Amino acid sequence: MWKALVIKELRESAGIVALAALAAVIMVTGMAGLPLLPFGVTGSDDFPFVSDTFLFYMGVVVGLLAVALGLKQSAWETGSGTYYFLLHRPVDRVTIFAIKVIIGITIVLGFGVAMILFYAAWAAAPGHSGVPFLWSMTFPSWRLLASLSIVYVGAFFSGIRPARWYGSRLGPVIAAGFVVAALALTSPWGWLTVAVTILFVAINLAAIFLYVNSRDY
Amino acid sequence: MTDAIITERLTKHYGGRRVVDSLDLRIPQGSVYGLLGRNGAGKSTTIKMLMGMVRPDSGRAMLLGEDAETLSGATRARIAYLAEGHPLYGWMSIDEAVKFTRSFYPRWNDALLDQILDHFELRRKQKYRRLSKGQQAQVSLALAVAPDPELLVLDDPTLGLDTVVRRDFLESLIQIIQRQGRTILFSSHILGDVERVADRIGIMVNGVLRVDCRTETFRESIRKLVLDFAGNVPDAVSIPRLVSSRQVRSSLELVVVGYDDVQREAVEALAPLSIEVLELNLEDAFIEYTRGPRRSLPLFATELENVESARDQGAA
Repeated sequence: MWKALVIKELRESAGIVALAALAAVIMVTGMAGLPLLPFGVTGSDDFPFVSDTFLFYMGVVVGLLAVALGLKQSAWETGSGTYYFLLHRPVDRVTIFAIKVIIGITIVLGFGVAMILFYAAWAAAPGHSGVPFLWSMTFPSWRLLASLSIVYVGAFFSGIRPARWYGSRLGPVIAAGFVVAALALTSPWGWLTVAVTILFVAINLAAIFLYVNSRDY
Repeated sequence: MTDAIITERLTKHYGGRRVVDSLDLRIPQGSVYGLLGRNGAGKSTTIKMLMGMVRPDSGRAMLLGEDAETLSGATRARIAYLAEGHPLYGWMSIDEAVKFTRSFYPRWNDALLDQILDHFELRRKQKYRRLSKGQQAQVSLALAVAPDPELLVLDDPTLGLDTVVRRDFLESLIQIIQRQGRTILFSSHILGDVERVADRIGIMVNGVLRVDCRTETFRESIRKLVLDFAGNVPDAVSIPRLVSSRQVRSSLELVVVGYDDVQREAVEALAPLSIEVLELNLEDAFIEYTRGPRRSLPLFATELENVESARDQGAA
């Protein structure tokens, strides 16, 4: 049963992940000086991770992936009516939604980790960058990636939470965007970023699991 | 006989409108119950409340002895539910849908599943989204029946199917019903479907259960009276258990529940030239019962017994 639910979530996320992967490949290859497109991101002489645009583009790509995935996993089943099929199976709702969220967060974070590692591998290889590569250069990227999990749970909550209109329905994901932007712009200590992230993720998760058991489908 | 489904004053509002109003329903184990009503009558909401998909504002529902809102996995495994439109994952092939569904159930009848898929000439490699509506309904039925459920709840299962497919679907349902002890609740607005399958019917009108009796009893108890008048047709008609009245030129058409001596006397007191008493088929009876300008009268099995006993007494 667990395996079936995991496979289902992975299969349903594949399209969005493929699009994000395409965007990430275009971005990383462009930054590495091997652009796949005649426009857009191009290589720079700046310090990798530190003073180039990687952080910004990673935020955009992984952020959009988090929003799309969170909404797809939660709201799409309402629109297609498949919740009636899924939620009647002899397994409690918390398990079904916990699997959804675990898969979603894993995909978002895994995707971001892959982006950072690929770019780090390129930056660390001899002849690719004019400056020596240190892992400490990647710290802001890890911090941003961790905080993007707030965007994912915010999007998921937006999708599961009934509301009168889209503006108020999207409230959680919009709020999550502000939190992540504030964390990215103010660059607080690492532990503070982690603490704020854990707090907001916990609040959103509590709200999600409250709604999945109390809302009408 | 125990009841597979019990509801007690089940009520639901949407936006201030009461879509299900104090529903009291008992469906005995082993019976086939057709829940009828026009669009918006509250059938789907009732079924969704039974399945725990919608939370009632008040009242409660019990399925196989357990509260519908907190059904355990073990009890849920004994209940099959076919939602309206047969929603399933379009990207799945029939085989993937079978494997996915089977993974949740401790009991799974592969032989029965294959039998149904063969009967409907469905190939396991076919993608669900590429199937016709009729085939999607057939797959849903096969998946619902494979865990060998004791209770089947079907929300308008023949909606959108053409006549031939609908007939085939119902024939299969009848075969499935023949397994002893299985209870089926299905909603529909197609009376012919209900007539073929259900041994009891309930009719919902504006969220209220107005009829709850055996199918035959309902059909036999609704009568249409056509009264011809030479002059003016009376405006106000006072007849016991009148469902609806309608003036057509110099005639007055009345629909009544159970046509007995008391009603006959009331009709004769209007001094018509002639009185024609028509029996209605189930569809006509349903239409007359649910559309009338007057509010539909309640008709329950117990009340009808009173009507019948009154009729018997009158005959005696």
